[in-house]
Amino acid sequence: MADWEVIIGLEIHAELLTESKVFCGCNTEFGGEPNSQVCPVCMGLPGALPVLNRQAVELAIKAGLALNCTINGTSQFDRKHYFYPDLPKAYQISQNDRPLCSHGMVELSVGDRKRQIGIQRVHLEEEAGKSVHVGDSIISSEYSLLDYNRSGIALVEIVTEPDIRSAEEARLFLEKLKTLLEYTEVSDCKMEEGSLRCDANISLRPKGSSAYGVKTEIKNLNSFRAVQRALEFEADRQRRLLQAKEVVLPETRHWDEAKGMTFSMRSKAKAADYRYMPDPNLYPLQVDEAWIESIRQNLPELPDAKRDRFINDYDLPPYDADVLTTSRHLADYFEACVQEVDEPKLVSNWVMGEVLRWLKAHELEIESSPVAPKELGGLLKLIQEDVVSTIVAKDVLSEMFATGKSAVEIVDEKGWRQISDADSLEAIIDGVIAENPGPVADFQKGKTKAIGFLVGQVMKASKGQANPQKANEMLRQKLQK
Amino acid sequence: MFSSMTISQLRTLLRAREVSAEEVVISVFDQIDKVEGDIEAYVTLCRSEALVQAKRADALLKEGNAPDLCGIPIAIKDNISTAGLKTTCASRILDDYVPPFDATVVTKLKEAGVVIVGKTNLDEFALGSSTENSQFHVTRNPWDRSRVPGGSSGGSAAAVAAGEAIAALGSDTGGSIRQPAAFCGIVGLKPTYGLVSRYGLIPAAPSLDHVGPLTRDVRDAALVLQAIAGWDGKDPTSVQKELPNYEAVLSEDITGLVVGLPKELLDNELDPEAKEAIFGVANVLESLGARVEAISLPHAEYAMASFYLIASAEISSSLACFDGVRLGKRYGEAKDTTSMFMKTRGQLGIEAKRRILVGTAILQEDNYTTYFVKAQKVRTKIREDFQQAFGRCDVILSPTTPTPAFTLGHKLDRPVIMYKSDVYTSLANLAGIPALSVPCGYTEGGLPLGMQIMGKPFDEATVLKVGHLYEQQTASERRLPQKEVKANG
Amino acid sequence: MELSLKEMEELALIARLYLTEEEKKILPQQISSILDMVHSLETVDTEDVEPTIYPITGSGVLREDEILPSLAVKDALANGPDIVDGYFRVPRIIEEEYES
Repeated sequence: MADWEVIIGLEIHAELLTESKVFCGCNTEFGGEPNSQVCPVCMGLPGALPVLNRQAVELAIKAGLALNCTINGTSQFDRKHYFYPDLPKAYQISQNDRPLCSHGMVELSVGDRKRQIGIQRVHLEEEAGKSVHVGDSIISSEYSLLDYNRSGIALVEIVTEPDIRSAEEARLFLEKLKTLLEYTEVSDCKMEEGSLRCDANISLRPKGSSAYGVKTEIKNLNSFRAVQRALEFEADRQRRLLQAKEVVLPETRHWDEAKGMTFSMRSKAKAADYRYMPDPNLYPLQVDEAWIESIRQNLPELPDAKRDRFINDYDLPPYDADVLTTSRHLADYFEACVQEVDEPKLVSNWVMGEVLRWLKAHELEIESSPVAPKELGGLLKLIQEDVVSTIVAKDVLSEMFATGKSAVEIVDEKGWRQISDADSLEAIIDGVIAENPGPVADFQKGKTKAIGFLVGQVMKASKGQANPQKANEMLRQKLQK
Repeated sequence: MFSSMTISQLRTLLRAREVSAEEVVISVFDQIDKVEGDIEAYVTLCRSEALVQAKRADALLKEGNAPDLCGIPIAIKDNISTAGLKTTCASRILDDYVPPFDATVVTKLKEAGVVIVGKTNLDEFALGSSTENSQFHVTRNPWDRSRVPGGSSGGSAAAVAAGEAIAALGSDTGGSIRQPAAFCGIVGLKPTYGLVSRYGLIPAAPSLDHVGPLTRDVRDAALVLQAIAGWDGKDPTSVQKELPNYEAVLSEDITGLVVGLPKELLDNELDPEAKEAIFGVANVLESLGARVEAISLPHAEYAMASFYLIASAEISSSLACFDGVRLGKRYGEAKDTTSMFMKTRGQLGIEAKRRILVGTAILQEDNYTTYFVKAQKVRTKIREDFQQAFGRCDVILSPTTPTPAFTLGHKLDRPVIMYKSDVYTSLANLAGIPALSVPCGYTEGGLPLGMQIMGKPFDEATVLKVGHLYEQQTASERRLPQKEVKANG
Repeated sequence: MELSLKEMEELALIARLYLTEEEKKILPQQISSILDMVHSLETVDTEDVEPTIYPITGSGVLREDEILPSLAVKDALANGPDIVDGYFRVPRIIEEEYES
């Protein structure tokens, strides 16, 4: 098994978050009535001409900068020709020889190792329309229906160098890429809506060899998990073929999520010739240094920098910093909360724990959390001030999620304030001592563990409102007298 | 009658309310009723809509603030998109296509108040030099019905020459405005690339395609150009420039202006009568104060090859969209998309297929550099030739075509010979420079000859001025084709 | 370049063009002669010459990211040869090359 090295390269398509399409003014909003967001340009009606959207260029440059690319001052739009009913002009406007961005790099943490994945290019292109297949699948359906609402939406294609060495690395890379594109607000990266898509190239070679083996391309990867599973399957398939001295065919393979396997779609023996040519309608795209610089200046803090800052400024463990910076909104939530409660680790525990758990259970994103950072801060302050115990606080948070009320309101309404004053506690403790002569005797004989049982009884009698630390102290004092 | 007048003559009459736009339109349709059976210049006629537009024009004229071309009946080549009006490119694939938008030039003409007479015939998708590649019908030359009107804007040229429109719009990829203008004894202008919007022109080869006017005289060409020129945010190759008043500059004189005569375009292959005519023009221009100098365009002989290779590559790409999915007619039963594409596109005429196949071949990775890039590099050499030449002269004079109008059916089977007739005109498309064809005499047989005046980029003013002065100087020699039509018929 | 019938049929498939028997007879020779025009260009020294893609030197215009009205659905569909439920309908989509 250890004899083979896995070589993976990824091609990612991400839809850009522009209001209008890349070459026309049609709305890009998802989910419109079929063929209601189309015009002569994006329907490819003859005579219509493309006019490039400035914001699409800006977002592509942002993506390039986030991926540490060189932004090329001059880039070229080319026509990529193929016939497919979802491609209105029978060519896609893309960038072939001279992409907008090239030579980038993304750093990954794989376990405790750092890995650098090269980015070959980031280029601008247009999205195709959508075909709905009537019937079970594309193969069995007798006809298909075309909707061009997606046609002409701005895309970036991101191509990595073949630097990825395992299926796990591929998944980690995609997670990192998604984080970067979300941070920079280049794309919303919704795989379920198709705004982020990934194809993977994989080949194997004997360890120590520098030549590449025959690669296959895997399509239909609809989630990060699918990418990892498909690549694991495919690496295994190729390894078995090679070990059996059989050949790997250069082909496109389709990932079947349900069966958990890839199968052959078409042979690539004769590589597709897209008959690229420069698009005579579009002059080369000129991007001057000042424009690039202003985009660079306005880039948000990127996840790696943010993570380091969280570790240094807030004294968070690296794990917490990693989790909190996976999404810009999550990091913002955390920081807004720290503004309220100056105890970062406490905030981190609650955000990563209770808050994310609740949101996940309700399929919500952090940015739509019903409990705002300020409100969570209000709750954590009550913990700091011993007004509620951690246990009660969890119930308070549940109520906050359910009702939208503030922590203080809930605590007051429910009478959940923690009992810390000595007079009230003393009455409860005296009652517990009177009712539990056995454990009291045990403790006094030196079985110190019995104190735990007694504190529990105090909590029970106080309906969880007693301050357990205080109760413990007072019990010891009384029993040792 | 009104139908044989120029825009400028009609403009005066219309403004003075000596004639109504309605009367002019009726006069044009009367002429159409008389000759269209012979000429077949049109694919679609818009009689009732034209009358409605004429009445609207009359209302504006009455108010006294009518736009420039108000009430002028104009024909539009049928590869220029007209909203709500069939635009066929003379192709079966598009024979019921109704664009949901107007080409920018059409929008501008409408704003200028014109009345649209109809859509004119062309070689299918503007691919050809005779209009015989129309999939609907052949158009005949009003001077001699056994001859072609030229192409691909043959319908537009024939309509204007035969009095079936006062002026027309055409498109010019390698001479498709100027060659038919020359064959039909009228004026045709291919403007500088980027001066007139291509938005809505159904493309053949986008880096070579232009829209321009076909008119009875140079002044009319200036008037139509004024109406259609200018920056258009919908055409990314459109150029932002201050426009001169093209009509006003016509009256300036040309003393001291240098006219270049390129020796490569006056070689032995040229028809002797055509050559004679050009030297005659040179004499007239000299008599008007211009200086005539011999110049050289050393790479002119490579224009044809460079042009056809580049054009074919671009055409193969432009015509790929006709796949029978979103528009046009689907032909034949098909169980799958590949078969549907092939059967539908199989309806294209042989010239379109020829160009598509050539273009498909040279865009393949293995051929791309040796064919396509080579042709593009030679194009650069041709552009440089012009830059050098225009360092020495203000305009360049040549014949528009090597021969007068040829007979129907003459060259259809020999594409390379047919392509040769584009030698003089395709240069200006490769270089993107303005070029005007003006009638400059007649053959012994009475067929019109045309001269071509090429100018510096965006210097339409000088080109028009030279053409206009020549025209004024030789006005007494101008003939009308209608007489010939009658004489023959 | 002498184009064989087979080579031309391959091109026709790539370009998705059905050819009639008569076209198959005459086109290979005609296409070859057009492609051969390139030989006349071989004598031109184009070393270090940039190819001309655009006839004039222009700079691309950029559009601001503003939503403009789309076509009304009925206008978008008006020219479609086969419309079903607001969609353009096509027969089974295949990617494999066509076998005739």
